Amino acid sequence: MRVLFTSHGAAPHLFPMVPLAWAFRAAGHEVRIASQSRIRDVLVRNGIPAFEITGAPQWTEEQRRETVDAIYRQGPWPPRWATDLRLLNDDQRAYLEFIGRRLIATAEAMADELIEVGLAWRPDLIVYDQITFAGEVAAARLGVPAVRHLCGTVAFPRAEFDTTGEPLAEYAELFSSRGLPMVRDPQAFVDTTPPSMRVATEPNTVDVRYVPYNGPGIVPAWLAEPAHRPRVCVTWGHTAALALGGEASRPFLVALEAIAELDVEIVVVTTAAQIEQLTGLPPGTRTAASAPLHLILPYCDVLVQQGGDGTTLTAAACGVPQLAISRKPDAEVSPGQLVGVGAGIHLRYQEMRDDPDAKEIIRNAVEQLLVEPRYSDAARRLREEIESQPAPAEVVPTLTALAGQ
Amino acid sequence: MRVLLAALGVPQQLYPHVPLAWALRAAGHEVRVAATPALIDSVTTAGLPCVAVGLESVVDDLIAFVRWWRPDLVLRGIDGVVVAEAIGMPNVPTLTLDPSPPGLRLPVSRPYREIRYVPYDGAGVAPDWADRPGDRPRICVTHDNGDPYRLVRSALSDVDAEVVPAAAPLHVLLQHCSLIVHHGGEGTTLTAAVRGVPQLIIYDTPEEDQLSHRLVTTGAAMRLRAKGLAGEADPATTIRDAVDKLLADSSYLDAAARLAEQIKRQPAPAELVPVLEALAGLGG
Repeated sequence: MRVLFTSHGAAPHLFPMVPLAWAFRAAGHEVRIASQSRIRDVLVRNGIPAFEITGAPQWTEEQRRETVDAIYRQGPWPPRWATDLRLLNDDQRAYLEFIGRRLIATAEAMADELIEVGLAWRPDLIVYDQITFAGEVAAARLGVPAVRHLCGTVAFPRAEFDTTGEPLAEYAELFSSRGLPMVRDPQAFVDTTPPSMRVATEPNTVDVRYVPYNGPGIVPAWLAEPAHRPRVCVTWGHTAALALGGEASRPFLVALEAIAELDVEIVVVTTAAQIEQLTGLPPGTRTAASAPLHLILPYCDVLVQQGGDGTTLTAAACGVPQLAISRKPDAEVSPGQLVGVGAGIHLRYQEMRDDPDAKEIIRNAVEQLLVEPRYSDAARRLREEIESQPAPAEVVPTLTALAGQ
Repeated sequence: MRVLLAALGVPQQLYPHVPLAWALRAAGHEVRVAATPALIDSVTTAGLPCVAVGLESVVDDLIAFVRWWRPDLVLRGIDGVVVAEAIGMPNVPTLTLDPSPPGLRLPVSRPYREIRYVPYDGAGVAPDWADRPGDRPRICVTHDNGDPYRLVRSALSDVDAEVVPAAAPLHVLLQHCSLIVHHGGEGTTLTAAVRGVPQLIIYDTPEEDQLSHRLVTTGAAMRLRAKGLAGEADPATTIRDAVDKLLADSSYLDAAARLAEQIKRQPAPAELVPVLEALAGLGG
């Protein structure tokens, strides 16, 4: 059978699908991954033959800034907003729909090329990232089933819907403009979030174990050296680094100062460009440029992170307690769920930014995560829950059956 | 389970193991690939977690890594380096996995298990022509500017065919090819066999001689000896005649299709995972 995976040009959306793509390949199926040129470097470094989609929305610099500003100027949203959109005010609802339309514009820019690729290669099944709606459009055009691969808690609320749960007009137009009937729901959802952390579950969900894949990389040699103190890993992810440049590290500079007051070893994992811009790191801090987190976290005691889904799930799979310091609404969702299962602490940068006690709050949070067994116990339970989910290899037959094979 | 694989030679020795390494990860196991500096890029391009060894001593680095990481299993190929023995781990079980279909298999004395050859020869973007048949027969020629291949290209210049150079990912390029002309290396031979593409082998080394002899026996290929060609007065005509025969005589295509069917019936890498779990004394 032929399976086409697709994600828009964002590594955190491509990476979670790679283990499932290889599960198909290792079972003898033919697999391709299609994504946009902006992530070409990681697209061709996962071992699966690639299709490069050159189409992308042509945002002006002003529109790009508008998107980044809209995302990062949000104050803290109500706790558990993702489970009940009635908690949101009009501005917050308008923001969600604004983001949804931006994502649909990306789907519009990708769809025709993806259809063309599909008409030539003739996949039997399309697996698309949760917001890469071009996958659903291409599947409709080719008459093959589509599966939506979720990359974390932020899959809900669905970005292509308005806040009453109806598809946005622009989503419907992705189909109608191509003479296709709108497809509201995929044939199945693949969800790698452990059930205890989910915001919502669609009826036709295939549970899959989260197998961390954080991009290619090398095991840092120093990991093998005995650690004489607890090890705290600090990261702020791909997305903020790309959107904000050097500014992305700001919430974590205070955190680094705070953690340095504890008797711990600090490991900073971020992009090489971010590391270059860091000054005044606490003495003895180790840095690992773009090292895959899943190679490092099994040897860490606490992770301090930005609220990214891939980051949260990777630490969860490694059984590590987490402190999330979020600064945008979608990054509040997984920390909220993490707090719900007891495996972490959630702080909001918007609240910490002007708080003179920020450093002390962060230091206390990390200290609690290090010393209070309830956090490490909860993190261990979460890891065990993830390990009890069916591995990607085990769901291949379920998904091939969807394609009637 | 923790599985260590070593990539210490050339990328072609790593490639056949990449699908199995990923089969293990996709089943939830941990995999690390120890690589010498020249192979680090090949390992990471395959998306596999890499451990750098051999800046000074491969064996010392491997021993240090094994002591720290404590693998349950060490993988090696049929011609791979005997890692477990080299690093003094006689108790780590080893097993030979043979990706050859029965028609191509060399006699082996060690215990082995069959594994389906799933082609992997490096990542890359699929060129858009590769997914579409051409108007004329498409012939893939090994990317090699050495002697016989200049000759091959000139011999093919007046054949009514589209000639494309071999490149990664080869299994993608071969989809709509009618013929491949190459040295007879194991990876290329098996990849063409998976695709059911007839082959013209211009062999040189003893290994190429042995494998191409078996391939010819299956009926899916013809072969010419590189040294023999060099001594001929009109080698281009010899090559041209072989190409014409391979394209015109459907028995080559039929035999190549049979070989592809044979491969399809072999257990996929995913099916070997329980065997490896049992070998390590874990799971099934």
